[in-house]
Amino acid sequence: MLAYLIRRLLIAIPVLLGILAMTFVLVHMLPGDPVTALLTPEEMQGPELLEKRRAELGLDRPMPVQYVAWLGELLDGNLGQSFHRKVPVTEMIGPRVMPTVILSGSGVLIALLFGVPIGIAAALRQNTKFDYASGFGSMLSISIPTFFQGLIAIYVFAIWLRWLPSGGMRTLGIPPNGLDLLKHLILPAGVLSAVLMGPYVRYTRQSLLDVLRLDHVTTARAKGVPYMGVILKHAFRNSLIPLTTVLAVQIPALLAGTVIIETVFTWPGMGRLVIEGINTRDYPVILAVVMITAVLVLFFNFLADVTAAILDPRIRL
Amino acid sequence: MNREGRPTTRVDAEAIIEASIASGEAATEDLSIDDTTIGPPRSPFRIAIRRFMKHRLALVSLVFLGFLVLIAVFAQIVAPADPNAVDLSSLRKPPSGDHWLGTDSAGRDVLSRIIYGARVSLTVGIAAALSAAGLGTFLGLVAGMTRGWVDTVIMRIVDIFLSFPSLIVILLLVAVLGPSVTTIVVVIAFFEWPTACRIVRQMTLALREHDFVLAARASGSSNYRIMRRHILAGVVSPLTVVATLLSASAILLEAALSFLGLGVRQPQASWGGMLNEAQSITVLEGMPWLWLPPGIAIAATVLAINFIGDGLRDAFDPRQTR
Repeated sequence: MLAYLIRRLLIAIPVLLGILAMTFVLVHMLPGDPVTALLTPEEMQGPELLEKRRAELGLDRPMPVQYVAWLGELLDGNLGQSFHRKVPVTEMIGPRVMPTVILSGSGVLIALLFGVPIGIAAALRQNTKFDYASGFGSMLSISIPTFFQGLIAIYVFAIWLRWLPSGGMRTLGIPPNGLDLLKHLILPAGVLSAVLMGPYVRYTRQSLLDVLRLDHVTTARAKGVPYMGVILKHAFRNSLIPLTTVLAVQIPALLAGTVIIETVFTWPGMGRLVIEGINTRDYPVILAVVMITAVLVLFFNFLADVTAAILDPRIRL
Repeated sequence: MNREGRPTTRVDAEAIIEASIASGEAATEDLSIDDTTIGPPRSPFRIAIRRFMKHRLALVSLVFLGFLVLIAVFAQIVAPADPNAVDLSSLRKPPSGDHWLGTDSAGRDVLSRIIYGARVSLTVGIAAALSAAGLGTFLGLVAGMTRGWVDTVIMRIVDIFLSFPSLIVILLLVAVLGPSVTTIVVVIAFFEWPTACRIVRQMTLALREHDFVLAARASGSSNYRIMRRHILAGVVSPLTVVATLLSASAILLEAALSFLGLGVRQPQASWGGMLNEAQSITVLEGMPWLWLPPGIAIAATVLAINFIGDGLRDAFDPRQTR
């Protein structure tokens, strides 16, 4: 197990450095000079001064040197300065983390709570009406654009039925409370889970079907283990392995979903921050979000690999 | 779902790899199972076509998509009006005999804009999917055939690309490079090739162990010839499935970009862009003709492509008996 862990870590390191290098390249591809963004109008008078600031900031050094220096800054937790608001990027991202965590966390949770049982039921009733219906449903969830699902949800639940608010995270004018937050959360989290559920259903169904064909399931049935026992102990546990990988692999997709959903529902999270950053050309903010996500994906992929290795000893070899 | 669009491809990708490897191993034995009728000699390709024809939804989808392509190609003839003709005397008018789907905030005919919007979606879907699949196939073949350090490097690059939240990076690049159909296609292809690359590499690794490759090598075939004649042929079937799913996700990505206001430039009509204008509550509440048709158009197109992808996968997968 230890050898496997070390091997996985050794693979992850070049990928991490690659992610960071690509972010670095993107930073340098962007238009706009970070030096002018830092200078006050009076300082911008002469080119000598610009050069001096440039040298002070180390921007005259060769790219690889700058890359290493930039890595050092990252380790200190410095993600750069916002062009637009002239404050550290971390300060802008900080308050946006919780809303996104609440939204995506509840979205994933709802999707798993419904998606996995539906997938199991569909696999056990393969080629029945239920199987076809759930297959069609998950196809719809995959095919209808997230923003259109959001607009439909707003139309039905906020405009037509008037049950739920159409956007935002709290009602203005009243003090923030849990119930109010929950009311605002239902629609965006519901749409996010609808988007995620399709792949969960499909994957659970497929991987359970694959496992049910295996010999050890037949053996368990033959020696008289009750049907549900076979499903839960022998089949479902093994079909969880690909599911953990799906959860990790889907994080970029999850983030894409939250970008759209936060825009549609004016939810004040990181996704909205990205869109605001794009509209105001505030590139450092966007890059910081991109990098954080990429590193998170890498981390969760690693976690998924370790989980898979715990669940399935063969992988460790 | 997207990445807007992404989940489909990535989730299914793994399943395709498994199914395709199984089909590679079991191709010869299994393919004859469901053929009970007597007829002309059957190649695996013909059997796949027959299986695809049995997949009713996929067939209907194929007809629908063909119809859509025709509409897009002959938009000038089909469209009742000029999609960009501004008519200030009829702004946001509900559907009527003159304008079957009403008019938008600039008095333009919604139906005509939907018809012209099909061009953008289909162009992006086809061009981005083909380029991504092409690049992915090339790198996947190289990785699988050479193995060693080249393989390691390519696969780590794939890992790097797959870690990035592509929607956001694509948004960023399109914002920087300026929105146009070409930029969108190039940027989407640049971030979508890794899925194809992984599958082609897996297939190549599985195929190269077969006896027919050994036989080809023994009879003096070069690496290049083996790749072209034997590996590529085996890779084609799973690749069509991947390309289908890639085009679905490319269409969803383009729609998402346009919806966020970063797609093709106005006034060019695109489905996502039409929905962009529907974000106000007044439009949502009182003018369904402005947002329902483009949304349904995207959903129907992507749904059709995904059904075709499903049909193709079933057709190429000998494990499925349906």
